[in-house]
Amino acid sequence: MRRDAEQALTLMWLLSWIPHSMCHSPPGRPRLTKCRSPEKETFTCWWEPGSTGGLPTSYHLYYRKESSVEVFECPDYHKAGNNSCYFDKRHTSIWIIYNITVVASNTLGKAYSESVEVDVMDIVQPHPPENVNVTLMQTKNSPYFLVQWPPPHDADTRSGWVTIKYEVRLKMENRGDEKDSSNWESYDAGKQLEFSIYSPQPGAKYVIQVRCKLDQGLWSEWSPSAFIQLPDNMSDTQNAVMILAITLTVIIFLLTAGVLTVKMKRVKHFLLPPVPEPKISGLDTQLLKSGKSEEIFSALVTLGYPQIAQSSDRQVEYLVVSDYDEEAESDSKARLEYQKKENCASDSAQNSIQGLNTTLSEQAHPGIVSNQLSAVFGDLQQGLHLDSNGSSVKAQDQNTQMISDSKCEHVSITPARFTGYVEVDEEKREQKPLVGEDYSVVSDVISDNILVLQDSIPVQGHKEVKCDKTSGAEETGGVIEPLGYMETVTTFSSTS
Amino acid sequence: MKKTTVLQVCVAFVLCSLQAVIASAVDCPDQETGGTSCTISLEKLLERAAQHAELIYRVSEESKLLFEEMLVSFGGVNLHVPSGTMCAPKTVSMSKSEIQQISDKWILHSVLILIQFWTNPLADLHASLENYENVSSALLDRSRWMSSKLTSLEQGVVVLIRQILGDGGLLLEVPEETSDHIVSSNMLETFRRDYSVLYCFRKDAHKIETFLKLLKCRQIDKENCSFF
Repeated sequence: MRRDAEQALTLMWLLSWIPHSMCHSPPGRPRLTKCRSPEKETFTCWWEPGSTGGLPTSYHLYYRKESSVEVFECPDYHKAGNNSCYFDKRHTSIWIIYNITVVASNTLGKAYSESVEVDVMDIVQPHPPENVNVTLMQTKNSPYFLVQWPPPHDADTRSGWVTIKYEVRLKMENRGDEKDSSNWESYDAGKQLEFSIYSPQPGAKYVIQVRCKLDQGLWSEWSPSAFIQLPDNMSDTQNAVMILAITLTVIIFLLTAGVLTVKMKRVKHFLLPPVPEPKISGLDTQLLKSGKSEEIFSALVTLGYPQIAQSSDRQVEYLVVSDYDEEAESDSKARLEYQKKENCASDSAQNSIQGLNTTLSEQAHPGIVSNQLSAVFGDLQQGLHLDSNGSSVKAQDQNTQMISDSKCEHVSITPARFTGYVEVDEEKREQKPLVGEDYSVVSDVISDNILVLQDSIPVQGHKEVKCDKTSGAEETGGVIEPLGYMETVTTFSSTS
Repeated sequence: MKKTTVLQVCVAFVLCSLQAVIASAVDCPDQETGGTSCTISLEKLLERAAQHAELIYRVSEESKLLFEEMLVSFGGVNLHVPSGTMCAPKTVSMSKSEIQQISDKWILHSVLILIQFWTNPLADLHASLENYENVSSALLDRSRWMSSKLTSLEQGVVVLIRQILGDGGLLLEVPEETSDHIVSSNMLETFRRDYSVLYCFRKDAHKIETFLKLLKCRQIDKENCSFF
């Protein structure tokens, strides 16, 4: 009994061994892991075998193209290694979908993998660039890295079949080198085969890698790293010089600002000299602003400035008749110099001169005779409407100055060619201007109070001498009409 | 003042239009036109066409990704593109060596046919995308952009055909009407259709880009273009 149990157990134990070595089964399902095309001209697919089932299994890859039902087998099983299928250029068509299946078969059966649809366009992943080369370029105190690499060896970029793009990344290597991807700095390098990295840190060690991509495919793996070590003393002096220059500039600027604020006015005068304002003597801008017209005008009236007649009550009018003999003037006209004078008191202005109550007083001037007074007198009488009361007309020698003696009552009239000074006393005459309303007789106006009258008709000059000073009047020719105090002198009439 | 501003605007407009007319003459000085209309040089045309195609392909790629993201938000719709629905019937599937042996004429014609095939479906796609609820504006912008750029690329290819193949090179083929625009109320069907449009267009855009790049290489830089 016990022996039977032992035998049964041993038998069972022995039997349990057998199936392991002797039991076969169909293979397990393989699995396609990935398919890749490095240059969009060929591609490779890899699979993972399932369980072998104890028997030698063979794997076959079959594929079908998108639009056909014909099944093809893998053209090359060996080029890409074990469990792979390599499609060469003749068998690679882009833009169509491959339906790929791997079959594992052994004597006991077959196993089909799941079908995978592959479009070559989508599985493009190039090889990484090899032999990345980094050099340090020292240019004028601003060194930089120059990273260079060759293109992946099988990509046809020249014909434009694929468009390649590169990416460079670098990292500073520290002591405790943690494999932290956040320390990497990535730069897009476009299609070019070199890249410059500026402003490296002196004394540091850098790790640089490059990868690439074709069209819109997948990025390649990173290339093997390239290392570079920077020397320590690099452009420190340049920094020091820069700092010094900046400090100096700031100091100078502050000094200038301080000087300017202190001496603002002087600097301003120096740079922008003040323009002198226009000034009229006597004209005060302040006065103008105040707006009082009387003061303005009074300020305007200064010495030498033409006087404005203030009050006509105190005016003495003079008649100055000049003699043209002295001058080489042919025209002889009775010139009446009508001058007004101040301070001649007028007592009564009621008298009116019928003719001309003039007293002819003659200065003791040799050779100058004021004879031809008639025109003057005539004018005086007729045209002038001399109505003053005993106004004295004082004739003054032309060459002599006007007698400014206001109290004199000399009246003398010299017609043309005479130099005489006729003074009309204002008292007698009372404001009536000699010319009156008839301005047609006025032939010339010499100054403000001198009128030259034109004698157009032969008139008799009258002479009246009132003043005792005179030595008498001389008369030349003409009819003399004794009028008492009046002496008439006929003059020729001349019209000028 | 108003009058003067109006006058200035008019003058500016006239000058601008003149400039537009004259600008087309910029490329002319190195060519002998002899009184005929002025054309841009072949290198520039090919360069521009290749750039256009590259850009269109990139944008189509982004559009497809955006669409997939949008569908993820809808609950992970399984998008299995049924083969051959929207993809161009005249599918060119060749290896590189075969492609490099085809002629310029063939390249240009197939490019033109592809472009003309995709003009309408892209417009329909854009209209359909606008009906979605949570479509991103980026996707809408891209689809609109693709439609417009495809049209301009078509014009460029026509000019290229005229220049490279001569005036008689343009075959007046009527592009065959592909699938009708089926308005489906089923959201899933709409998704599938739009996704297949994007998927297939992306592939065809890549084709166009590759053809044009190859053509450019052949015409401009004959030595460097490798012929296997």
